[in-house]
Amino acid sequence: MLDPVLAGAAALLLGLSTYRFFAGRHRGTSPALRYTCCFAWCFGAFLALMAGQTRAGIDHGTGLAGLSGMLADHLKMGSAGFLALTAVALRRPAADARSLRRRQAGTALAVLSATALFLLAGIAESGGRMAATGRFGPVALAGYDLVITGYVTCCLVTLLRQALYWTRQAGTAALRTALGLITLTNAVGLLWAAWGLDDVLGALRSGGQRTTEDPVSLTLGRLCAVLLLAGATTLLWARAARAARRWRTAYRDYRSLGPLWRALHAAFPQIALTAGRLPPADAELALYRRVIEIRDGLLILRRYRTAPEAPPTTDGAPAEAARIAAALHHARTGAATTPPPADPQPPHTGTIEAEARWLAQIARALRTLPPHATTAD
Amino acid sequence: MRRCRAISGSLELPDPFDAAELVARLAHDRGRPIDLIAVPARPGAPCGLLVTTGQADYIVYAEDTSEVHRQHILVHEYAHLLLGHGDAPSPDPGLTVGLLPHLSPELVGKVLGRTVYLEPQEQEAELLASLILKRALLPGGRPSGAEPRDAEWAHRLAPLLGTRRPPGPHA
Repeated sequence: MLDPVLAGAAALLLGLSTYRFFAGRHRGTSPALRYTCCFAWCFGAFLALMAGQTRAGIDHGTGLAGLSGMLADHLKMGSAGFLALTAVALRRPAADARSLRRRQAGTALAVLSATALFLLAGIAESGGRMAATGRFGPVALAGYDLVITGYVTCCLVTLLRQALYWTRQAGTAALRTALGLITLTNAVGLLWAAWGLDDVLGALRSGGQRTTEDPVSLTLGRLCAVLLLAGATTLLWARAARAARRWRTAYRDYRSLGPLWRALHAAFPQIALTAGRLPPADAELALYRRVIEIRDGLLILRRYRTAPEAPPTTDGAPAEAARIAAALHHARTGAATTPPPADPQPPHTGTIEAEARWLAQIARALRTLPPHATTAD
Repeated sequence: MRRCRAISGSLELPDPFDAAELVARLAHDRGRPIDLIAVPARPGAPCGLLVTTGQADYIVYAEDTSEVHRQHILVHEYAHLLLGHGDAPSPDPGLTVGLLPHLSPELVGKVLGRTVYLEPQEQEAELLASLILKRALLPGGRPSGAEPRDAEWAHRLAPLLGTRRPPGPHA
C-alpha cells in the first residue's frame, strides 16, 4: 500500500529540487545548491522506495535478495553525505577545497565499506526477512548496519552544529522558524539514525533483519519528511503571506480613495493615465496612481478654490471635503475664484501611506455630503 | 509597459529615496548638467516641465504641492530623459515663456510639459515615474524590514531555504 505522506514528500522533494537546479543554471549553480539538490534527489528517491511496494518489486525483478534494502540504505547515506557537504559549503569562512575533498573521500570509504560488508554477509531472503548466510554473515550484516548508522550520524551532527549556529544568528521570526525547523528535522533524523542500532543488535542476535522499515522507522521518516519540507519552504510561505497582506492593504486604501478620485475625474478626466491597463494584481501601483491622479486633480482644482479659514489639521478632513466640493461646484459652473497659495497640507504626508490615509479621510467625508455637492451637472 | 518595467527594475535607486539625488546621478552619468527649478504652480500651466537647451537640461516643477506629488513630478521629467524623449523635436517651445522668462526661446531645443497624457511620450514617462516611485516608496518595493544581517543570512542560506535576493531599491 502506498504511504501518502512519504509519496507526497518524495514527489515534492524531487520536483522542487529539479526545478531549482534547472532554474538556477543560467546564473551558475553554487556548490551548496548542487549539494542541496543532490541531497533532495537522494532523499526523495529514498522516500519513494519507503513509500510503496517498490522494494519488493526490485528484489523480485532482479532476483537479488536485499538489493532494494541496500539501495535504500545507500540513498540514505547519500542524503546524509550531501547534507553534510551543504553545511560545509555554507560555512564562513568558506571551507577550503581540501576539507571538501576529505568529506568526499569519507563518503566514498563509507559507501565502499558498506557495500563490501553487505556482500560479505551473503544475504538471502525468506518470509519478509533478510538472513545473513555467510560464515561471518551476522557480524558482517551488523557491521554494515553500524557503518550506515555511524556515517549518517556523523553527517547529521555536522549539519546540526551549523543549523544551531545559524538559528542563533537569525533575527527575524520567519528566518528563525525556518532554521528552527531545519534543526528539528536534523534532531529527528539523528533519532532515526540511532534507531538503526536496533538493526545492529538484531543482526548480532538473530543473524537477520526485516526487509522493510519497521513502524518506528516509518514514523520517524514521515516526521523528518514533513519537517524538512516545512523548514525548506517557510520563507516562501512567509513571503507569500507578506505579499498578500500588502495587496489587501493597498487594495483597501485604493478603494477608500474611490469617492474623491471619481469626483475629481468627473470634473477633469485628463488626470487619468490611460497608457496600457494596470494589472489588477498590482494593487500598490493602482493605489499609487490613484494618489497621484487625485493630487493632479487637486492642483487643477486650485483655481476654483477659496482659501481655508483655519489652518488644516489631520482631523480637518470634513472641512477640506466641503471646500473641495465647493471648488468642484465652481469648476462646473465656470466660476473662477481667487485661489489660495497652495492646497492645504496636513502634517506627515511625506509617504504614500500617510498621503493615502489623509486623502481617504477626505474621500469618506465627501461621501457624507449631499449628492449634488460632488456630481457633475 | 514591459519596457518601463524593465527600466524601472534595473535602476539603482537612492536609499532613502530622494528624487533630486536620482536626477543628480543621471546628470553625472550623462556628463550634462540638469538644473532643478522649483516654481509655484500656476493655473493652466504644466506642473512639471523639461526644457532641453544646448548646454543643459532644466526640470521645472511645482513646489507647492505634497511631498510625494513633488517627487513624482520630478521623476516624471527624469523619466523623459531616461527614455530619450529629450532628443526628439519639441512640440511647444513656447511653454517656457511664462515659467522661465529668463531663458531665451532661441536657446530652447525641446520642451515637454506634464499636463495630460494624450501624447505617447507623456504616457510613457508617467508610467515609468509611477513604477519607479512605487518601487521606492511602497512596501512591495522597499526592503522587507528584515535586518541587513538577516537578509545576508537568507541570501547565504538560499540553497537550503529556497530564498532569493530580497527585492529593493538597490536591485
